Amino acid sequence: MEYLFVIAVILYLIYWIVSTILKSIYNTTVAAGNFFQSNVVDSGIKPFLSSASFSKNNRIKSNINESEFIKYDYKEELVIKIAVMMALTNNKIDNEESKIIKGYMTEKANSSKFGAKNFYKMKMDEALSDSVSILTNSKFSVKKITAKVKKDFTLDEKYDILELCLKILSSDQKAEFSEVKMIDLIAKGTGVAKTDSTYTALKDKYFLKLSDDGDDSLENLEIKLGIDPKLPYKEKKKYVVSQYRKWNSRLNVLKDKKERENAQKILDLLGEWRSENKA
Amino acid sequence: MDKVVIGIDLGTTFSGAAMLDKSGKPTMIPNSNGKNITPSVVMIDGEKVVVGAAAKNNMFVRPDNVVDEVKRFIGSDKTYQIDGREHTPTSISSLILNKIKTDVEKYCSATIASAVITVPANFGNNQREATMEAANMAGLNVDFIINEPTAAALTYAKLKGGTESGNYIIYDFGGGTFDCTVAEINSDEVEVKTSEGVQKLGGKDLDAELLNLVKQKYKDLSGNSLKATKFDLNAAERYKIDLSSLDEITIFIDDVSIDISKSEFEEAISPLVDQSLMAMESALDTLGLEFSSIEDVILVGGTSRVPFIQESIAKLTGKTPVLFGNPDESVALGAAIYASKKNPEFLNIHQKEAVNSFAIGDVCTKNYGTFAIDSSTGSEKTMNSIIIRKDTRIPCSISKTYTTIVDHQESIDCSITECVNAEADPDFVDVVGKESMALPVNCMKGERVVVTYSYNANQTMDCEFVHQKSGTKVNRQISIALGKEETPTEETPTEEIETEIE
Repeated sequence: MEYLFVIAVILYLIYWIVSTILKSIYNTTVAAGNFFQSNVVDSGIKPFLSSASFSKNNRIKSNINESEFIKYDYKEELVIKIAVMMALTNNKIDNEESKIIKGYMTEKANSSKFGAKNFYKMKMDEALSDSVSILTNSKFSVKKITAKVKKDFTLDEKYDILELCLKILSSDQKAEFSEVKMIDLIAKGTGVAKTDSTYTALKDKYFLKLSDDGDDSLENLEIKLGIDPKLPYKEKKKYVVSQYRKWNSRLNVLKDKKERENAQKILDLLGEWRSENKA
Repeated sequence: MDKVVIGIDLGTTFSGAAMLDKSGKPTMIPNSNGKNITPSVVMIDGEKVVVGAAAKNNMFVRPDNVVDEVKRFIGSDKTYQIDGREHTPTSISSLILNKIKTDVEKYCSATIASAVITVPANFGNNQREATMEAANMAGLNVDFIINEPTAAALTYAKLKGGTESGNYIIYDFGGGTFDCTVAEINSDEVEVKTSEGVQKLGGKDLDAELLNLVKQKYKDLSGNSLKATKFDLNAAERYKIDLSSLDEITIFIDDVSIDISKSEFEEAISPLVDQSLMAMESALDTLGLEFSSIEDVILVGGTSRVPFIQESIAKLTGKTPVLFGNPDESVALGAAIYASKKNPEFLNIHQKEAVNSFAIGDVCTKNYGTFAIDSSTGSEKTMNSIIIRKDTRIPCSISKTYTTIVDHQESIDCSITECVNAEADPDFVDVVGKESMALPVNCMKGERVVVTYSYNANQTMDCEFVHQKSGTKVNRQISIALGKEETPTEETPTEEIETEIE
């Protein structure tokens, strides 16, 4: 028995030494890594991760804290949290919204190579359920949630987040006022101005895909046209003319029939707004 | 046989041709029915082709054989299936032009030496090329295409006489399109400053609003839906004209009597009229001008006769708009002046005198650019970088310098983009030319590529991309109006490098 105990101790020590060495090598490799460099990270530790050690039921999971071990990047979790926040604007996450968020998670997980895929999936699943739980059960501040994005994300990463939010917004083919307001808040929180040309173009592209909701009220008209109700009349009028110039120009460029029809509808709506709002 | 030079207004609803008479006065050329304008409607029945009023009369009787408003689709991939044959907007347009050619040659007992065709100011390159192709198919020798409001401004300058100069708005509300141009007119000199056009806004849309009103009232009164055979767009057009002089009209359909007041009609068309007013404001805004700095608003196009339109313009601008001559004819007359100016060899001495002093200054009606990454924004997304801005006086030549983005970059994208509004997003621009330039091996990050666009007076644009270090270049000529696109040439190396930087 003593002999077996000694062997067990030796085996444990070997295991401890090997895992410490590997952990040290890996931490050095990923020190400056972020999610978007994940494929580089994976290739450095392929032999270990490809053993599928990180499936949910694997014992090693409970023995080793893999978020410490792999230095999982917080950016992913934050993107998911913001996506959930966007989806919850109308208090529930519907099927289409859920599909978009999961589709995003799958795409990101698939973009990682070798064995990290399952790990990323698991981490993102956790981030998703945590976000849903937190955001549905307590008040939250868009500013606080987006503050880290403003500080640490690149401009293109911010545009990617906003595009994901726009996909969620347009998933039901409608844009509610609260959703438009929310995405503008997210943009503002991340440091992207409401007037940023890339952001407005992204917004325009998604709004072109929306269906006509049949609501022709003046209030809905202003929401659809992105007119700030607080603006004085002269400013509103100026904005409407600038929008007219923009959409009139785009009408010839759009190839998709539905998008062209929607652009024409926008022009018609601008005409209606102008007709109903005389000085 | 004599040779004549003509101007053609190829309109959405009506087309017409004009020339200088022997005394040098611009005048319309009547069609075979003795009318100055011909409906742009084509009926195809097997091998038989009918163009004009007779085709229009059959529009609702034989809808499968009749095509109208083809101009709204020219340059697009739309097709028409008639009697098992496929027709395109270009081929249909060529039939209209052929009818004009035949009528002109018959009336003048002469052949057409050269013609100028007008297009809306906001027509893109593909629409202009398709128009040129239609002219070629019709056997017309067309050297130039000019913008409709520019032609109308020429007519105004010619007919008004006098020497007073100033900025004018040419408000052209046609049958299918709306154009607005701001031009400085100084005696015989017309200098276009900017144009705004709306492609789907014309008298036809006003007719459709009236038709909708009638349909709604018919349903309210009878409980039934109104059939197209009982009241169609042609009928709506006639009643629209009546509403210009009457406060109320009564339409009898079956045993239903429908009253429509002028105010009801005006309320229905108000959003459309407001679209035209916005285009006008947009044009002025582009130039930083106020209505107070405008001498007059000149009305062009048959739809501008609608009193509500004239009242709306007066209310907005504080000026009573000017209706001179026949607004349906101004564009063709201006095209005739331009065609004569460009072809003096076919003119008599009076005609030459009439156009000798005319000078026309035009601007680029679109923004032209290429795709690049703007390092100043911090984003690595590809964007549209504008090289020649809309409203730049032509001819012009502008260069911009770009740099390669990575070490060992193998090639650069030499796309030529076009857009009316200054767009940064690649999805909102048209690519009118596309090439790729192979770079020399070991090309490093930051090497300069000079891109020069030269917009020529004959409406062609030469585009050149030069890798400065090696002299490798790609040249391409885009024909903005003439429909010809030259084969790209790649040369390497070369000693001559243009380095003019904007």
